[in-house]
Amino acid sequence: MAILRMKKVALIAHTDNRSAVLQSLQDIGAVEVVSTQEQELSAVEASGTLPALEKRLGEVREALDVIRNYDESKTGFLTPKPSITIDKLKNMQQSFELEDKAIEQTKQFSDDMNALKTRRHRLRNRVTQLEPYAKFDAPLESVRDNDYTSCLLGTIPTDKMDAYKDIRKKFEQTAYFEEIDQHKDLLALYVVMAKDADEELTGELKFIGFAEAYTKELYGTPADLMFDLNNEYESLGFETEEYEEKAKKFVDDKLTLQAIEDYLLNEIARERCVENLGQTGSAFMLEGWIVADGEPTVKKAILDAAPESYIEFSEPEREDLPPTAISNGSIVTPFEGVTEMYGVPSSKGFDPNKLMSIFYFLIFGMMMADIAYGLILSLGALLVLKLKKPTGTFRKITGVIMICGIATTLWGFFFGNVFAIEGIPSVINPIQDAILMLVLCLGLGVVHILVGLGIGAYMAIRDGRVWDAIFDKGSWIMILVGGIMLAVGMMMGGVLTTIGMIVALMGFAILICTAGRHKKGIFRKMIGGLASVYDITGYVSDILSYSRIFGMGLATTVIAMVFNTIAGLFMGPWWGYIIGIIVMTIGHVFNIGINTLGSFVHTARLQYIEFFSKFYEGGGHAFMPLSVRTKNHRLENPPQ
Amino acid sequence: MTNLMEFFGEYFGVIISTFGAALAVGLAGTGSAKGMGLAGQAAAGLVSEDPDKFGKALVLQLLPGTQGIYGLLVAFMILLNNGIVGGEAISAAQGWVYFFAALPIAIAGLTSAIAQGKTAVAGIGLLGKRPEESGKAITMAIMVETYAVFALLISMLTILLSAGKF
Repeated sequence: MAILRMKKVALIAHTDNRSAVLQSLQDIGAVEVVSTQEQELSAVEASGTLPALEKRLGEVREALDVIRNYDESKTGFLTPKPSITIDKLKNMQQSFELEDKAIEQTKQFSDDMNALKTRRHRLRNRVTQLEPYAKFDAPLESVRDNDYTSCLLGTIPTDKMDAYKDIRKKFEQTAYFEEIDQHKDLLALYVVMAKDADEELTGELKFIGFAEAYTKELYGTPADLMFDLNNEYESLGFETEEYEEKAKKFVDDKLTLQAIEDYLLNEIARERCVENLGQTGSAFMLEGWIVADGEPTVKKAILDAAPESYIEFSEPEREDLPPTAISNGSIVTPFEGVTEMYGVPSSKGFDPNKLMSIFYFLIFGMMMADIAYGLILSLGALLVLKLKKPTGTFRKITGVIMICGIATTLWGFFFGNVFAIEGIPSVINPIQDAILMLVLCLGLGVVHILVGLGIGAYMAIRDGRVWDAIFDKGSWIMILVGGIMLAVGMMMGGVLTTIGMIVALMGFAILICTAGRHKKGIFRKMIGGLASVYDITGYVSDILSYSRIFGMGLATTVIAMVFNTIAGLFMGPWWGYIIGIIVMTIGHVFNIGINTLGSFVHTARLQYIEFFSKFYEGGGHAFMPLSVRTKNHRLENPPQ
Repeated sequence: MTNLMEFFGEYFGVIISTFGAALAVGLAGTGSAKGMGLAGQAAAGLVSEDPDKFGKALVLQLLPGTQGIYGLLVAFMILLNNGIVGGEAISAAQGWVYFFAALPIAIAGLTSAIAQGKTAVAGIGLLGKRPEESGKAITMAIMVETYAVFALLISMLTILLSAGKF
């Protein structure tokens, strides 16, 4: 299989049937609705439904946020999402009453919690403000002016001590100064002064940073006040904790709210499609893309919902850009995840997944190459698939790991590698036959690149550009093949050298003569042709890039050896064996982790940069039909 | 004094190759620590906004960590071969070869890990804005690592191919 053929669908039906048709299309999940191109039709008027749904979704999410803070139910990595059937999901509207109550309660709860927090915060602030005066032993109500004297209670920064002392000296006769306490970088002061000195003294003190304490309506000594405030603060803390206990019962509503969130998301997806429709007085028009094979299903679904409707299926026109739907067998499907990370191929391009998966399998296996590691990877990935039941990209990546575990085991046999234990028989020992190993890696690289060029040539021929295929891809294929024959010939001797030389030179000749053919003027054509020879550096670096396979392979083996050696140092007394086994377990787990990541991304890179660059036509967008999607659940029996 | 000179003479190969091993671990490790530190700071910032992106951010943070491991591997291979972990003490010439074998991963490990860390930081920024493009962010960071892998390869090949020749 490959990139699927797409068809356009156009449908006209009575407005009364609109929601039924959309519901039916969402159920089968086979039509991507696009904005209608008919200029004469008016857009469907916005109904109040969408804003209402979005408001409700916002409320549900807020409630879920509150619940999430108090949710103590354990969900490990392997816990699968709860499952739900489509029918149950559709009937979630029945739970709206419960939802309203839960939303109301959580909202009330979070408002109350905020109020409690604000109160505590305010108490804390008041205590902090009183702290510098903790040692002031008179009640604060005594700090009041009378007919002859004024009082000041406040702080000055300690770095202004010298200035303060000057002031103190100056007003010795007219004022009484008491330094109460030094608190952090503040000095608390109590000043009683004669009325006539008030203005001047206050002015001078303020100039050096005197900040007056707030004493109005406060009674009792600061220490007593602080004691009371602290008590109140503590008891509010208990109150908050007790209140939080109440929140735990909200968790019961979590599953329902999550289901409602999914329900609302699907309702919203459907309402969004309405914006793409065209409208006349009493009919609407829907346009979209379907996979060509899905035609009967789509037709039946529409006619079931709206028996009196007009449906037209048509082939895409030249200027259309249909979405890309890819279908592969169950073994290749996981590898689509790797391609998706790079981009979506154009719907007129080529689905690289089948060929890519073969090389991905080989290269990943070579990088890890350990019989035991491969088994652990495959079984581990299988366990994740069975227990967690992941969906989407995560499922695909896990599948890739599971399949590539097999490759790891096979290459492990080839290189004689089990936990990097020495003395296992092997076909090639990478550490002893390093050069042979390097040649093997580069050789695989050349094959990989040749296949890439081959796909490029195939695509050009398919599109009727035979000469492009020969000039652009064929010339390089000849150069590479000739180059290899030349190299082999020089090592082995014989006629291969001459043949290789001739083939490579012919390739170069084609390249020089034709690479500049799109340029204007004979001179530019020649320059273009000669300049393209410079691309040889690109090919050389592409091929050398495959030496990373050897590099990553060495990394896997030698890290394992490092841990084996460290563990070996302990082996002796009985307790040494225990430590040694612990070191080896941790070490090999670490090695599997770090090298699976490394092998995964480096293999992907070889596909993206070295392989795809020879033929890939990107710029497509993935086929996204209107369908039932869930964020919080696994769908049971999803439609195929 | 003579004794010291004699000692150095006899074990010069071991000493200079161990110096190389120290550089491989030390410099490549420094680079990785710096690179992972940069990426880790960015990752923490992203996770504070969106804890669900922890997994993807962690992968990006991990990438500049491999250089340190490569340095460790090269150092380990040298120590296995130069007479420190069993075997006989190597000649001075062999010691110099091992010393130079350690330099590629020491130098390229130091610089590429830092550069990769910076790319990872940018990648984490990309992850914040467009989480669906995390594959591309990883690919960009992996581009930088290429040169560390090449350095590792040459370091290892030099050690493997030269062992016992001098």
